[in-house]
Amino acid sequence: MVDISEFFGKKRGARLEPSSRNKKRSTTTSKVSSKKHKSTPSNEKKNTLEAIDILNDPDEEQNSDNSLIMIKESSKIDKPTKNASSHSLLREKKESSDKGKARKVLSPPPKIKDSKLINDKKSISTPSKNNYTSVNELLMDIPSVDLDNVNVKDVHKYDFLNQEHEKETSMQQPPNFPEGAPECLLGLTIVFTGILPNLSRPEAENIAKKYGAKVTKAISRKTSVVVLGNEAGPTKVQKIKDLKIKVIDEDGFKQLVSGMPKGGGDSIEATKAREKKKKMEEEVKKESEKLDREERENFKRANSKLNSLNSGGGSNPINNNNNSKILDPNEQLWTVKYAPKRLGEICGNKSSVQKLKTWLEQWPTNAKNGFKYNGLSFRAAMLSGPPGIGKTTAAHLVAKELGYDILEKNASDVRSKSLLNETVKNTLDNTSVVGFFKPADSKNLENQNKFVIIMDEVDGMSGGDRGGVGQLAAFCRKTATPMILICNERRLPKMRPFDKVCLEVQFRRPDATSIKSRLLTIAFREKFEIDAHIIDNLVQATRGDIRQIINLLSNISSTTKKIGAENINEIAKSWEKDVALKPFDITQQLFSGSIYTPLGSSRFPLWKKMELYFDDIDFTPLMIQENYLNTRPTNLKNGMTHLQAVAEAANDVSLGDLVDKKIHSSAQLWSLLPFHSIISTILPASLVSGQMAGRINFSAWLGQNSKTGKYYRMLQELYYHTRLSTSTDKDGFRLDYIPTLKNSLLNPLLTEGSTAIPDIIHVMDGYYLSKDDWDSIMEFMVGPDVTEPLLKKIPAAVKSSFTRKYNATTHPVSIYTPGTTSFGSAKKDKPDLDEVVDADDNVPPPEDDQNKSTEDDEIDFKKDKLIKQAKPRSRKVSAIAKSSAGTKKRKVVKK
Amino acid sequence: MSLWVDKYRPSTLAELSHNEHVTNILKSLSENNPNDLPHLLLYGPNGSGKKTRTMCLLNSIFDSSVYRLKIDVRQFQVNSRKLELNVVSSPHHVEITPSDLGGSYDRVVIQELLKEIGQTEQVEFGSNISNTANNNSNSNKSPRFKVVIINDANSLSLDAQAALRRTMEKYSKNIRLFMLCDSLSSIISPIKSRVLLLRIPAPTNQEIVSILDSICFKQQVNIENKDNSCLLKIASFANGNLRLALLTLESMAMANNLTLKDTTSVIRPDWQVVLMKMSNKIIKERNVKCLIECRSMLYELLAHCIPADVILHDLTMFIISALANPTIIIGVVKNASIFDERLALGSKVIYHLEGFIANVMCEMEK
Repeated sequence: MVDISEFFGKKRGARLEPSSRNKKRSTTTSKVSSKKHKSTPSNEKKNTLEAIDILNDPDEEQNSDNSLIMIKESSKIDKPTKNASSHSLLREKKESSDKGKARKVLSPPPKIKDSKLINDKKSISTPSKNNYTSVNELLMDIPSVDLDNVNVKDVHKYDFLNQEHEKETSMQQPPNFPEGAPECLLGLTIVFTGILPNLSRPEAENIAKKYGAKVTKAISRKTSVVVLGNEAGPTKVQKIKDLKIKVIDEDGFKQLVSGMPKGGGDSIEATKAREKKKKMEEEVKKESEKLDREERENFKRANSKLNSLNSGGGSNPINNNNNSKILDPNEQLWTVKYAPKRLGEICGNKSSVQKLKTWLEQWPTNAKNGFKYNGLSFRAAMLSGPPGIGKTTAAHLVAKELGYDILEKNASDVRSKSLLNETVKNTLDNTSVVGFFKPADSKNLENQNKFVIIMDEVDGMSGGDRGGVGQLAAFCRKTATPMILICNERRLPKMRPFDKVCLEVQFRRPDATSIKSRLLTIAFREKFEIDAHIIDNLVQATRGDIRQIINLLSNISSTTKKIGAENINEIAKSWEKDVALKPFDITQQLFSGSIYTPLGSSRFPLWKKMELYFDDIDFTPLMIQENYLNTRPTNLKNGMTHLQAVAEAANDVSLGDLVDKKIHSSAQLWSLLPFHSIISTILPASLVSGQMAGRINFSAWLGQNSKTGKYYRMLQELYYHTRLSTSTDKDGFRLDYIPTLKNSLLNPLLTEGSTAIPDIIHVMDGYYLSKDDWDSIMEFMVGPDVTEPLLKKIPAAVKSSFTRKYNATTHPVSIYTPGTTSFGSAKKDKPDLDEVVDADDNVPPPEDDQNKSTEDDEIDFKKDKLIKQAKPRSRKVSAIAKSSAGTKKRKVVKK
Repeated sequence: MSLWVDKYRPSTLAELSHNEHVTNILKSLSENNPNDLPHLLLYGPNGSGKKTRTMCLLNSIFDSSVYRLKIDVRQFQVNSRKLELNVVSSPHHVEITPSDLGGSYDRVVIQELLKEIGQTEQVEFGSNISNTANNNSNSNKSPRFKVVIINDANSLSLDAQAALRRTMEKYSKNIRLFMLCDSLSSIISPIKSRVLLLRIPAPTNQEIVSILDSICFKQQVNIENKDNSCLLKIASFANGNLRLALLTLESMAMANNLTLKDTTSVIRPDWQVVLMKMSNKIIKERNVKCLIECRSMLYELLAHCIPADVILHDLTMFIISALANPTIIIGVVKNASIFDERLALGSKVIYHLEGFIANVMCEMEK
C-alpha cells in the first residue's frame, strides 16, 4: 500500500493551495480519527499512526514534516515501485490471500483511505514520475465505494435549485482538477452516475473523453469502471453489483486521471486501443501521402501540358505562371479540394452508391429489354437525402466511373415545362460527341458516346418552374438516356409524380466512424490538430453534414489552428444553432412526455423548450392548438383526468390568443413573446404531454380561416344584391334570411319540378339574385340542411330548364361592380376562339362579330355609371337572341 | 314576389304596428320643424325594427323617393391599398356600413365620405322649387340636409368614432346622422351626448302573434286552432326577433301547404339544428373524442358565417335548458361569460369556443 501514498504525495499534494489544504485537513482529521479504530494489518498501522500524529499537530511546519515523511516512506516503497509491472499479478494474489475477505472489491479498505488522506496533506514535493503501467493495477489501489452505503436517489423528489446550479457550470475543465498525461485513459470505458460532489456530469464526461476514455451512459459488461456520485439510481447500483464492476468516487477518478501513464498503460485494452489508433494514423498518413502525390502529378501534368502549349504558341513564362496558379489546389475550396475522386472515397452510404452503380451498369441491358424485368429496371434514378452527404458527388462519380458524360441541370437553371421541352427533350435520345475527341486509348470504349442527365435539386423546382415536375416525371417514363434525379425531401407532395417511375436510392447521414479517417486525413494535410473523439462531437452538431464539417474545419484552420476539448463544445454549439426545426418536429418534441418529467426537465430545461417555440413563432402555437387533443397523456397530475387536463390546456390556449392579440394588434407588444411562448405552447403541451395518438396534423386553422373569409365575401355580395328589398345586416341575413330563402328557392323545385321555375325566378328577381347567387345560397347551409344531396335529387331536366329559362329572360341587377366586367371574361375566351379560327381560316366565325358588337355596347354603358347592366350570363344569351342593346339594360330602381 | 317579411314591411310611420311610444316620438320629430331634427342613435336587438322605423321616418320627412334606392361602389385609396365600399343611396339619404371594410379602415370612410357629403349643400329640384315659391310653409316640409345612415355603429373602431365627433357638429347644417346598433356599450360617450338616443325594444310575444295573425289572414294561411298556440310557439321561438318570426312562419306555412296546426313543429334554421345537436353531444359524452368532433362542427359553422358570439350564446342556452342541477348551471354560465369576454378580446375565435366546451364538460363531470 505504500506505493499509493507515494503516488499521492507526488500528484495531489503539489496542487493543493495552502488555504484549501488547511480547510480540508480539518475535515479529514475528524474522519481519520473516527476511522483509525478499525482493525488494520499491523505493518500498515504503524505508518498510519505516525502520519496521524503529525497531522494532529496543525501548527507544525509543513516543509519539515514533509521531508520527514518523505524519507520514511521512500525507504519502504522503493521495492514495489521498481518492479511493479512485473510483479503486479503476483502481488495481487498475495494481497488477496493475505487479507482474505477484507479485500473484496466492493468493500473499501479503510486503511487506504487513511493513508491517502495523510499524503494528501503532507507530501508536496515529490519527483513526478509514472509508477503505474496498467489500469488494473491503479484501479486496485483506488478505493472502491461501498455500494451498500451509497446515497440512492429518491425517485420522486426533484431539486430545482440543484438543477439550476448544474446549468451554470461551464464546459471547461474545472481549475482544481489535476492534469493527467495525454491519452492516459485510452481503452477505458467509463460510466458516470449520480451527482459528483465537485464536478458536473458534462464536465466529468468531458475530462474522461479528453483523456481518450469512452464514456457510455448504461452499465454493461464492457464497462471498465463506474464513477459513482450521490443519489445514483437504484437500478444502476444493483447492476453494478451484479456485474461486479469496479466502482470509484470522484477522488478516485482524480487519482485515476493523474496516475495513469501516457497512452493508458500496458493493459490489453489500452494496447488494443493504441494499436487501433496507430493504425488509423498510419492510414491517414498513407492516404494523405497518396493525395499529395496525386495532386503533384496532376499539377505537373497540367503544367507540362501548359508548357507544351505555351512553347508551341510561343507565349511568355509570366503568362504560364498565371495559368498554373489557377490550378493551384491551395486556392480551391476545401470542399472541392477534398471532394471524393473515386467511388471508394465516398464516406458512408456504400450500399446506396453500389445500388446506383449497378443500376447504371445494367442500364444498357435493361434498355434493350425495354425495362420490363427486374427491380432495378427503371429509366431514371432518384437520389434523396439530407444536404451535404454526397448525393451529387456520388452521382457524378458513378457516371464518371462508368464512362458516361454528364449533362447537369440544377436549381440555377429555369426548368419550367416549356423550357424542359426545349432543352432537355431533344437530348433524351442523343449521343455525346465528347468521346470522339478523346484519345483512342481511353478505357471505356463502349460507353464513349453515352451520357447521363443529372437533374440536381429537383425539389427546388417551384414557382417559376411551372409544370416542370410533371414534365420531368414524363421524361422519366420515356427517356432513352439514363437520368439521375437528386432531391432532399422525397416525401413532399410535389414529388409525388416521381413515385414508381424512378429507382429510389436513399442516402442517409453517415455516422462518425465512416467520416473519421477522411477528416483526419484533411487535418493532417492541412497541418492542424484534431482529436478523433472531437469528430464525434462535430458529426453530432452538424447532424452528419460532411460538407458543413469540412467548411467548419476550413474556417477553424484559418483562425485558431486547433480544435480540441476546450473549444469543441463552443464550436459545436454555434453550429447547432443553424439547424432550424420544422413545425412538425417542434410539435413532436413539445408533446413528448419525457421532457416534462423531473429528469427530462433537467436535460431539456424550460429555456430549451422556449427555444423550440422561437424556432417558428407563427406556426408552433397553431400546431399545438391543432394537436393537443390527439395525445395520450403520460404526465397527468395527481387526480387529474384526461378531460380536466385538456380543459386546462384549452383554457391556456385561449389565454394565449389574448396575448397574441396584444402582440399583433396595434399595441405591438413584442416583449410579450416569451410569455406567449409559455402560455400558448409550453403550458398546454406540458399538461397533455405523452405520446401522440396518431400522426401530427397540420394546423387546420389556416385553411378554415381562409374558407371563412371566402364565405364572408360571398355573404357580403349576397347581402348587397338583396339589400334593396331587405332591411337587415349581414349577420341577420345569414342567420334569418338564408334558411328561409333556401326553402323558398329550392323546395318548390324538388316538389313541383319545372312548373315551379317561373315562381322561383320571380322570387330571385324580387331580391335581385343571379343564378350564381342561387348557387351560393345553397352552399351556405350546414348540418342536416346541407343542400348537396338535395341538389342531386333535382332531375337533370329540371335543372337545365331552370338554367335555360333564367338565361332566356333579363333580370334586374342591384349593384354594379367595376371589377367584374364581362370584358375580361370575353378576352379569356379568346384563345379558344383562336383555335376555331385556325381550323377554318377563311370564314370568320359569326359569333365573333356579335361578341365584338356587344363589347362595344358594354364599353359605352360602362362609362355611364348610373346605367346598370345585366350580368354577363344573361347578356350572352340575349346577344345571340339579337335583342337590341337599349332594352337589355335597365336602370334599376325600386318602386 | 318577395318573402312575406319584406312584402308586408311598413313604409310609413302610420303603418308601424308595435311599440307605439317610439312611433309617437318619431311622429312628433317629423311633424314639428324637420330642420330641427337631431342626430339619432337607434339601438335595440335584432329584428326589432330599427331600420324599418328609420326608413319610415325618412319617408315622412322627405317623400316616398327615399325608397328609390341604388347601390354605388365607392373606392378609397389608403396608402397603396384600394378599398371598395358599397353605398346605398336615395336622393335624400346615404346608407353606409363602415364595418364592411374591416380593421381600422372604417375611419377613412368617416373622414372622406362624410366630409364630402357634408360639404355639399342639398339642392332641391322640381316640385319643391315651385312649392317654395307658392307656399312658404313648404320650405319647412323639405329640409335642406341629407341623412347619412350608419349601420352596425357598434362595430365602429375608436378611431372612427373619434373622427365622427367633430364632423357631426361642423357639418350639421348639411347632414344628419342616423346611427343604428345592437348595443350602446361600445359607443363612446362624446357621441352619445351628441345624439338623441332611441331604444327600440323587441316586440312582445303578444305583439308578434297579432302581426303574424294579420299576415296569415292576408296570405290565406289556415290556422286550425283559433287560440293561436301555433303562432305563440313561433313567437316564443323567435324570442322577440320579428324578422325571424315572420321568416319562420313563411317556411312553416310553405312546408305545410299553408295550413298550420298546433302540432306543426317549428322549423329551426340550419345552424340552430347543428348547435342543438352539439349541445346534446356535449351533455351526453363529455370526453376528449367528443371535443374533437365538436371542433370540426365549430369550424363548419364558423366557415359558414355564423358569428362566434351567436354560437356561444345559443350553445349556452341549449345546454342550460337541458340541465337540472343549479350549481352546474351556474358553472356553465360562469364559463360562458369568461369565454364571451375572451371572444371580444381575442382574434382566433375557435380557441375560445373550444375552451368553453372543454371547461363545460369538466364542469358537468364534477
